Amino acid sequence: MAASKIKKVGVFVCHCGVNISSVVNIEKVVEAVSKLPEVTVARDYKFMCSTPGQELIGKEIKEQGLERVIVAACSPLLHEETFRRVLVKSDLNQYFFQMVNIREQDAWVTADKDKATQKAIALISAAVKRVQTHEPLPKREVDVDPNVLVIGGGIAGIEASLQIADAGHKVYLVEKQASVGGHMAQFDKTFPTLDCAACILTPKMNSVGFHPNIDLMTYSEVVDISGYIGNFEVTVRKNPKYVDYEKCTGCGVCMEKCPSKVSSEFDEGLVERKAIYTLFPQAVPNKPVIDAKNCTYLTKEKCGVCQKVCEAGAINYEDKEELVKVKVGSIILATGYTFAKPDVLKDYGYGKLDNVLTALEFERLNNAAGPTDGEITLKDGSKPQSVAILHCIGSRDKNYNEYCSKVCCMYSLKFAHLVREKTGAEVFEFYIDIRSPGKAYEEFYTRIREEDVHLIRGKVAQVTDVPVTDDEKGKLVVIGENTLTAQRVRVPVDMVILSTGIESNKDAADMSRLVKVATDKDGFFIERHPKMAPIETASAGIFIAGTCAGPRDIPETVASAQGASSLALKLISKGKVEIEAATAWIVEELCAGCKLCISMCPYKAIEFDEKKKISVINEVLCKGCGTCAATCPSGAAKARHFKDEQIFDEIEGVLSL
Amino acid sequence: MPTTSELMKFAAPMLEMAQTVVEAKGEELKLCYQCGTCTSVCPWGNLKDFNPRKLIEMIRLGFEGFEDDSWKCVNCKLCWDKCPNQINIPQIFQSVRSILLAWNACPPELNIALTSLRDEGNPWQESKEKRDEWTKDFPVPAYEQGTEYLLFSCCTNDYDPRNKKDIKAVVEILNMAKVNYGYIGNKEVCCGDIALSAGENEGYGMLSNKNLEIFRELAVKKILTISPHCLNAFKNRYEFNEGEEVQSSHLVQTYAKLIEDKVLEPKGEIKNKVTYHDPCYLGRHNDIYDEPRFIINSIPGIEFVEMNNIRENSFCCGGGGGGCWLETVKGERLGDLRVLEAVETGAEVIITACPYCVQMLEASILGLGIDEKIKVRTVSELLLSSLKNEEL
Repeated sequence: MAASKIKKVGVFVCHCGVNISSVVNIEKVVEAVSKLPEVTVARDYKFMCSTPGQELIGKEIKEQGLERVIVAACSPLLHEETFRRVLVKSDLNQYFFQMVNIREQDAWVTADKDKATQKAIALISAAVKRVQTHEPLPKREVDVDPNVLVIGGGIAGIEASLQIADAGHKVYLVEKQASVGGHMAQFDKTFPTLDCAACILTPKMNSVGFHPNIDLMTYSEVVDISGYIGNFEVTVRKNPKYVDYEKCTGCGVCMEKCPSKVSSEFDEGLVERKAIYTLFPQAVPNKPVIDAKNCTYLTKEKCGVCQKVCEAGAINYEDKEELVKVKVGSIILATGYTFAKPDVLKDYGYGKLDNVLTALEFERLNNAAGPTDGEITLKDGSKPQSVAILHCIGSRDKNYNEYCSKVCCMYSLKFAHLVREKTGAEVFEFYIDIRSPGKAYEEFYTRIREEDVHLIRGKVAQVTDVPVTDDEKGKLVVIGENTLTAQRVRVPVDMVILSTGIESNKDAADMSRLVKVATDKDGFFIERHPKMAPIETASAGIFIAGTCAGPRDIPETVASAQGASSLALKLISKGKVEIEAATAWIVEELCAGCKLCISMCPYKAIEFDEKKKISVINEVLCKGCGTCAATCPSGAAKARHFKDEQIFDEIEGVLSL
Repeated sequence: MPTTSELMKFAAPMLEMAQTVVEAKGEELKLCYQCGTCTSVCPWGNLKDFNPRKLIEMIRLGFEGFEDDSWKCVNCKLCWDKCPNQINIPQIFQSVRSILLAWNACPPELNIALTSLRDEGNPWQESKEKRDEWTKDFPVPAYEQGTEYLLFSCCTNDYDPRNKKDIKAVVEILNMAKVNYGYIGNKEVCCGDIALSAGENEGYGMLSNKNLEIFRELAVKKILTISPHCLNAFKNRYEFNEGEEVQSSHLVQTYAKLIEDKVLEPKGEIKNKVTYHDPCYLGRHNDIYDEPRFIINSIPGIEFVEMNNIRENSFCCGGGGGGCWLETVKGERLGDLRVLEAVETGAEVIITACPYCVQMLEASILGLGIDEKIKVRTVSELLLSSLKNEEL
């Protein structure tokens, strides 16, 4: 061991209620670690993180004159901060602390109680050795830039932006599409209250568009983020709109006259739009963009009609993309989701049979501003007399998405209501389980049953147009099992609605790399803690709002957006933020200048000193991840708090048993 | 006079039963959330009250009444492919069967086949010495160490008079194409597929070990199968040792390659309207869908029509999972449905590539009395007719 004099260590073992103590024999652990020569005192307590627990640690530090503190409890992600604060309060440097995870890494994953107890002792012994060489590291604080970046202009991004802007702070709101609004703008009615989406959304869209504190960048994408909490530098690419928004009055003549038609993404391909277009009539900003891929002038230099008819002279075919740099202190991710279009759709005749619709297509069909002005009609224009709604298409299905998409049951019940109300058609709703755990959701489910919707418990396996009886001729036949009567059923209907689920965006992996927030196996951003920090991420200063973190309905999305904005405001109002002190440094004499560390550093914190021909770490940018120290072939890169001797001491501790 | 408790009817969970099934490799049944997809797609559901979902629930809680139906599954794999929980449902029935077998509760007709498998190495109650009888007047090259392919014939082709025609066609084609192959005659025993799907794990172990021994003794590297059931056993079931690189393929793959390479050039016109029946073990179990269609389409003059339920959604003949040996009453035969589906396309010939499919479909054609209307031929028989410029 490197330390000259043994430092006095206090070990505090937490029961975590029964989470740890039901598997790990706490008494044995305390007994064993008490015998280690470095350990002055070893105590246990039911909840070490509670006030009495914290006071216990503080008391022992004072009374025993402890120089190092170890808490064996849960993950440091959860409570490292809590216990570090106890040390600070007791006038010990917070880096004299080490947390040992005997819950997630031991009690929860070890069935054998003796082995779990042994493991706890080994892990604590390792920490006892390691803390001997811990060094005091200084507190580091930086100023927080009060501006905020919000990525994504759906209801989550809109809500978060408005909260922050209304509090008097600057927001850069970046939206990829030509208008804010997101998926919610595509819906007509919202469950369970059936209030119209437009009535509650468009006023907010309007506020975002005209708020003095919001710099709205539509048709734009974030392409680079550097920096760290409090001080991010963000590069936004403004894609060419080919329309000068300073001059454009939004009169719409260009869209009327444009001869190029393409399928409308906003209307799910049910109708066409022009090559110069606004996403929808209530778009914000309500000015068009030119879709360069489909514009005859931009592709073949023919046409030019829009320029000719524009009295304001706003059409600019020479428009180029523009890179804008902005500085912000925090970032809110509100990048939303896509509706799944799983391969299994073909089993249900989608794409082959008329009148088999996805949920989003039905939303457009039903929308008062949609292609049929909200009339629910079949492809031939007639009203359906029977409609089947099929739950869980591609959701709760290991072949596609294993998770439950959470919103489909409720929107499917909403569809049933709308079909009944608007057409009087018989509705057959095939479900596996109805999930209605929200405020007034179960009541809505009751209302649907009262409205004579025919609920059949069973997942539909197939939709076919091959009839076996006369009744089935010319119909879509839905085949499934009514599992409650144990009978196979064939139901002939006129329309089939496939309740498809929520899926992460196709470019979630790119966004994940950009913002350095990991995604789960399904591509949704991972929160810092699923319960206690559901809006924070592992990247400090970056928050998540809405469905980019997983399936959520509108109330939850808005709540999380308000949560994200309040966390951003907390940072701003504090004005300063403490940053990691356990950074890395380069031993100049050892650095060979190979630059390997520079290529590996995920935070772009290392620069090359051309004069000295060595790498230099910018400590403000360094997050102390240790990648450089692990990469450096000559051992020149060192990580504070993770020095080689500390790691070796730790290994020695584990092996000492 | 009965007591009141004798009159009262209820089902009580018998969790020991459920646990026994779980331990017999049926653990996936725990994952079922009762959506009914299996029941909807199960081919049996078209003909009778057969409900895999309900059976799983009964087995899971040990409710009585699942025993008889557990023998029905033909291992066609459609339910497994469609199951949102990816539950290997045929395996659950296999697990149940292994327990029922231990209780001697096996349908008697299947028991006869299983006994024959143990005693003679084939399910057809034939002597093991007579396996190669068909080669007496029809010479087939013997497999020796160093021969490229071992032609694994399949019991049904070796013993059944109808299927012998098929294997003879195979031999003729392989000879024409000068494929380096050989046959091991009486050393072959059944691949064990039926034993396994009947839950006869011991019998399966014995048969597979015998074959493995021979493969090792002769240093076999490539096995050419005629029956998709043998193919599946070798490819997906047999426990070859690590480093034993034995490749198994099906004849249709060989034919397709030979035709593509122009080694075989089917020039004789076949002026028939034909359809193709995907054997479950070739298609769903082993993803071979394109080769047989490619071969059919390479035959000049042929008119090829597809049925409604094809490829991944193909409809079973009823012969798998031991179904070939089980008595089924008239009106409840899967083969009947399949044959009628073929007839409705207007086809005169059903082409297929599995000995069980041949047996089941031909039995249904006879049973339905429509042998004037439609017949069954294998891919080999079709190809040979064209190569020899003979009528199909």
